[in-house]
Amino acid sequence: VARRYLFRRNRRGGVEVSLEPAEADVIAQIGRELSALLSPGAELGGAGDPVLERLFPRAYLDPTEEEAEADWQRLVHDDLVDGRRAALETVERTLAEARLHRGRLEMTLTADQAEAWLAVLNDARLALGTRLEVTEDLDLAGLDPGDPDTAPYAVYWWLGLLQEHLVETLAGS
Amino acid sequence: MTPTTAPDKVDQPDIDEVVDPARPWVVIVWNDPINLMSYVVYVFQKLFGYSRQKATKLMLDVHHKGKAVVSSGNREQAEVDVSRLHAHGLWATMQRD
Repeated sequence: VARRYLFRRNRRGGVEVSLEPAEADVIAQIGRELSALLSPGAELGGAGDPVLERLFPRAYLDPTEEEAEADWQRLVHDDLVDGRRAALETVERTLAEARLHRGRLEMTLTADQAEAWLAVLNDARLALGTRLEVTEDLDLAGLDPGDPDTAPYAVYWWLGLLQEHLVETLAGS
Repeated sequence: MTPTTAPDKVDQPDIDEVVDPARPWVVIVWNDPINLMSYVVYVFQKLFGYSRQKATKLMLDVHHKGKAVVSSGNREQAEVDVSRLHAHGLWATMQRD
């Protein structure tokens, strides 16, 4: 019997992924929400929306550097948005091409595609964690599983588990 | 071999630097409750080529002290590093040292 895995290295420097279909659905759904957030029209500098402010922070804290900040934003903001959208498209595409094997969805990612997955998992946690206003003291064990409000926290916790696995896989530890 | 012009410049005094010393800029990563410790170490190693030990020490500084200087250089270099860190979801800013 093959040992279950979420992510594991292959010999070509890529990563094998194995998810339950329901897990893949959650990732796909989160990817769609992030894509909508990053659709054209997402505000420069992300002023106003705490999630966009978190994904696209200022470079300069010093208020006397407002001009440099604006120049820097003009220079990099579109590239930062494009990079995130490209990663989302990679995740979407690899999920769509996944093969069903014994009840699990399996994918083979190149090293670059695995980096895209890592970026999307992190962005998803940044977005969800910011919305939920999580703190370092967040105690998931103290949440009532019967409370429907806890569902997003469960997703947040699970994304962290997934990301931790992927980091360990990529770091080769 | 193509000669480089760089060594010649070393002996020439840089007037601009004397009048207005190009103060180095530092790139700071701030603590946040979302980014995973393992991920932050991974990003420091990937972006800056730091050893696992150095990347871990920087991550722990961020975690325990609230922030850490992760790189320094001129303004342009710092801006590049900040944007790379932002692309990886880390909360980074830059300021004069």
